[in-house]
Amino acid sequence: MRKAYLSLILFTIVFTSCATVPFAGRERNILKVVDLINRGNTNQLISLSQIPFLLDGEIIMLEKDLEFLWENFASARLAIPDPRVAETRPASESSHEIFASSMEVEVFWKKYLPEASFIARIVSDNGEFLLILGGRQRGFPLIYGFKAL
Amino acid sequence: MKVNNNKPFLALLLLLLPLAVFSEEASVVYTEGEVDIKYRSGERWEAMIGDLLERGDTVITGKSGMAEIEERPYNLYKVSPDTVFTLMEVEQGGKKQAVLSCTLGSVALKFEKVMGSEPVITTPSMIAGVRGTELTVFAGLDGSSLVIVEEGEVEVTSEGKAVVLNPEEGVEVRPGEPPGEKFRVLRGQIDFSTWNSERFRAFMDDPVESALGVEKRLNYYIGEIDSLLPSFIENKSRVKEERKKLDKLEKEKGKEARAEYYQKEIFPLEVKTSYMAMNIRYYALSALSLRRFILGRMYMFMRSLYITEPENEIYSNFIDVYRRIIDAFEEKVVPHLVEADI
Repeated sequence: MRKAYLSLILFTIVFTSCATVPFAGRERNILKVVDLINRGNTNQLISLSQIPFLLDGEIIMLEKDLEFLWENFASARLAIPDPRVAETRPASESSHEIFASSMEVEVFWKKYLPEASFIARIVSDNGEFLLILGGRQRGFPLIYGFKAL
Repeated sequence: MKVNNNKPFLALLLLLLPLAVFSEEASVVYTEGEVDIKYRSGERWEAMIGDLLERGDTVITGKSGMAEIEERPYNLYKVSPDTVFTLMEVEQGGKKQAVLSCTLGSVALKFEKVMGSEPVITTPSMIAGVRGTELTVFAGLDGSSLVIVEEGEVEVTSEGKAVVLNPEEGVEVRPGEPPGEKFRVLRGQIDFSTWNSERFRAFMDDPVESALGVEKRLNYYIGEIDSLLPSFIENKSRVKEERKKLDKLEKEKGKEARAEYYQKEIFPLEVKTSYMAMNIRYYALSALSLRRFILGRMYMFMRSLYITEPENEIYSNFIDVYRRIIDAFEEKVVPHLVEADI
């Protein structure tokens, strides 16, 4: 009986956490994006990336520049080995400063990020990285920004 | 962040200018592939045939996108793929001056009949005045420009020097430099993608040099803003003071006296002040385009190519100049921007 209760509680926790944490904020889905970066899957990264896109404090407005960005990352052999999601937090109004404390980035935050978007901090053997994720497309979160710390 | 006391005034001006100042009508007459319009209101929508454009609106084409814009009376602008093209306006000598700004990519422009003041074409590195002309303007990813004239006459100015181009002549202008030697060119002889690749190679060979060119251009815009700002602030405060007098005048001398005083003293001052604000905005927006589409792209290339070696000297030297430009932009330009610009 006790075992059955514990199973029920565990199931409830897992079920409710899946139901309440939006898709883009779930660790498994964040790591799927990291995996695309590690495999240099530029085509899929380009298709998941949204315009405008935030790179550090720069707003990328052109589709072709997004292609250059991911292609260049791949040709520079950017890798995030042994990735761990250290922190996930909703992209709240004041959290833009983690990317840059400029008026442009503040406006980008307000104007271009969807409601349920998240900042994921990933630690790896190659340093720390930030991803802005939100929404979903074919089983992956959409990417709104990237920063290498 | 600095508090900007001009912003309410700028926001009001943004709302009023389309009604008060801009009479020409431009519309999208053809699109192919991905074409967006970023409106002065800040919204960005896919362009459709028949869409009307106002001064301050920007046409952005994707890698396979093309657009044709017709502006009355019969001016036609053909916007090539990967291009950022903005319809702007500035005040010069008490008159409105249409400005067509190609920040990146290429636009072919045909002016059937130039009536009144001549339009001005700008890129991040030059200004061109046209006289009944057909020309193509290329703006490269390092801020360089190439101007090719097919018909009429074009005067290309940069860094205080001018070159007059006649049909089948062209000139290249590097950012922060005067126009180069003009050269003969036959129709269709120039391949923009080859020229742009050369400019990209030049940027990669010496990114610091390219960034310094951008810095020089940005400093020019900042200099123009700085020179306008004191008179603008003074005029704005004079308008406020003069307006205070109106109620007193009405009480003492009646409504007619009030209206007369307004027409005679205040209205001309308001117009002058709004023109000053328009010019400050023009230079601030030009600086924003330069920062976003030229410097921002340079940063994107350098950051992504050197992502695994941030200690590399080429990269760190570039970043030093980049940060200096960003600091100047934040301090001198951002106070004159509004959210809709981003």
